[in-house]
Amino acid sequence: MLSKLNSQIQAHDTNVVFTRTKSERSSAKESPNWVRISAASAIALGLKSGRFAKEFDFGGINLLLNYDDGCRSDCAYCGLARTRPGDYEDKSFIRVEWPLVETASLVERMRLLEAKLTRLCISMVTNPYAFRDTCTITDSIVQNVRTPLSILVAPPTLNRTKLEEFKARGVDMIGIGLDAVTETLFRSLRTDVPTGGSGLSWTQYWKIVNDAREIFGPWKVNCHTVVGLGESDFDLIEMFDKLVSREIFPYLFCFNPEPDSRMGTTPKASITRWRRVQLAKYLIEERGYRVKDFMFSNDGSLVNIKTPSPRELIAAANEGVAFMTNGCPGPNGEPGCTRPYGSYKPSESYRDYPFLPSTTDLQRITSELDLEELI
Amino acid sequence: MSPYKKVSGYQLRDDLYYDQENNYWIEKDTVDTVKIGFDELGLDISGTVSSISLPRPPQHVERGDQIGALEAEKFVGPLVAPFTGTVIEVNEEVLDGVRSLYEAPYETWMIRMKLSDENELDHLVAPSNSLESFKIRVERYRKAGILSW
Repeated sequence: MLSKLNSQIQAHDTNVVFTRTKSERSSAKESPNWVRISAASAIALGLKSGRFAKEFDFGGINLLLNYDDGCRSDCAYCGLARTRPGDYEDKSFIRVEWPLVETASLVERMRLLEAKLTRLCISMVTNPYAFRDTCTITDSIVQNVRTPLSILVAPPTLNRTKLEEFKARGVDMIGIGLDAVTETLFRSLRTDVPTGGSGLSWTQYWKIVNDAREIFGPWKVNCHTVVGLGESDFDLIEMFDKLVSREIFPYLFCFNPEPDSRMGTTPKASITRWRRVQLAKYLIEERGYRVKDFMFSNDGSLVNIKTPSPRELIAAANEGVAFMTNGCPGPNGEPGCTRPYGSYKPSESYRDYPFLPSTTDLQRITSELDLEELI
Repeated sequence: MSPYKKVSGYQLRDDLYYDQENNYWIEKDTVDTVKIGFDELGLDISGTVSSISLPRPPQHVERGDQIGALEAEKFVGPLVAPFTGTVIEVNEEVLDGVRSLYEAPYETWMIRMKLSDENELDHLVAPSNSLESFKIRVERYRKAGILSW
C-alpha cells in the first residue's frame, strides 16, 4: 500500500524518496551522498509539492544526516530515538517526514535558488561517521552556495580539533542541542536511557559549548533549550541568563510529543507558560534583564517580573519579536531559520511565529500571555 | 477503454466531472446524487495530507460553504461545498485515515451529496473537457511554485 503511495509521489519528485522499499534499504542511501531535509525545506526548494498555511518568505534549509542504523542516541523525547518503535527510515523527526534526497541534487537546487535562501543548517546525529560526513557535505555546500551555514552538532562525536575543522571549512555558526536545561534532567532523559546514552553527558555537551564559544566567537554559538521536558521556569530563565552573559544565543523550542517516543504522552507546556518563557528570554536578551529581575514560587514557576515601568514591559511584548521563531540569522541579520510549524500543527495556534506577528496575532498573544498577572 | 489517463504527470479519469477551484472529482451516483473526492492534483498541492474533517450528515449547504477541513504537514485549509445541496453521507474510512485517498483517489469518495437542482453541475468541467482543463490547472500551480520540479 505504501509502495503505491511512494511511487505516486516519486512520479513527481524524482530525487526524493519518502518511504524506502526493501531493496532500497540495502542500497545504503546514507550520508554523505544522501541527506534528509525538512518537509518545509523540501517544499521551499521545489523538491516536494506542497504549500504553507500562510504565505511568507521562507529560506531556512535544514539538512539531517542519514544512516541506515540511525542515531545511536536514545533521548526520551526524540523522534529519532534508538528504542522508539519502527524502522529508522520511517521515523518522523519533529513529527513530520524528512524526505531523503541526493546531496548533489540538493546542493544544485540550493545553488539555483540561492537568492531566496537565508540560512543553511546541517544537523548531525550520533554516529561514528557523522563528523567525516558533515565535513564532506559542508565542503560541497560552501563551494557552491554563499548562504551562511550552521551545524547543529552531535557533541558525543566531537572534540575541539573537530570544531576547529568546521570553522576552517567555512561553517558560520554552531548549535548545540542541549534541550534539557539542568544536569539532572539531562541525565534522566538523555544519559540514563535504555541504550546508547553513555556518550551523552552533560559534561561533554558543555565542553563542546565552551570550545565552540572560544573558536567561533560571540553570538556565533547557540544552545537549544526545550520548554516542557520537566524543568521549571527558574531553570530556564537561569540558563538564559547564563548563556546570554557569555554571548551565546539561547534558542527556545516548545516540546511537542513524538507519538510512540518515551515522552509521547507527555503534554506540551501550556500556551500561557510558553508565552511567558518566550517573553522572559526576550527581556534577558534584548532589554538587559537578569535572573534577579524575575520572581518565582517555591516550585520555580514565574510569578512576577520586577519592572520600574509596566508600560514599557507591555510595549516590549507588543513588539512581537519575543514570540518569533529562534534561529540562526540570515546574511543581513534577519531571521534566517524559521522552521514553520515545527512545534505545532498547522491547525493549532502558532507557538513561535516564522514572521513578525500581525496585529491580530498580537491580540491573541496578549490574551495567551496574561501579562498583567505578572506585573 | 480505460478511463484513466496520464496528464502532466498525474493520473486522471476522463469520465468524471471536475471542480477546478477545489480540485474535486464529481461522479454522478444516481439521478440527483453525486460522490465527491479529491483528484491527484488536489492531494499533491497540499503536501502530505494528514487528516480530513467532514460534516455530520444530513446537512444542507450552499455552494462555497465550508464543509470540512484538510490538514497537511505544513498546511491547513477549508473544504468547500462545490454546489448547493445536502450532504447525505460521508466516507468514514477517510475520517479514520487518509491513506486510501492516495492509494485510489478516484475510487475513494469523501462526501455524497443530493443536488438541490440538476443544473448544479453546470459550472463544473464536463468529462469531455477534463483533460485539457486539467493541463491548465497543473500549469497554474506550477507557476505558483507549489508543485515539485
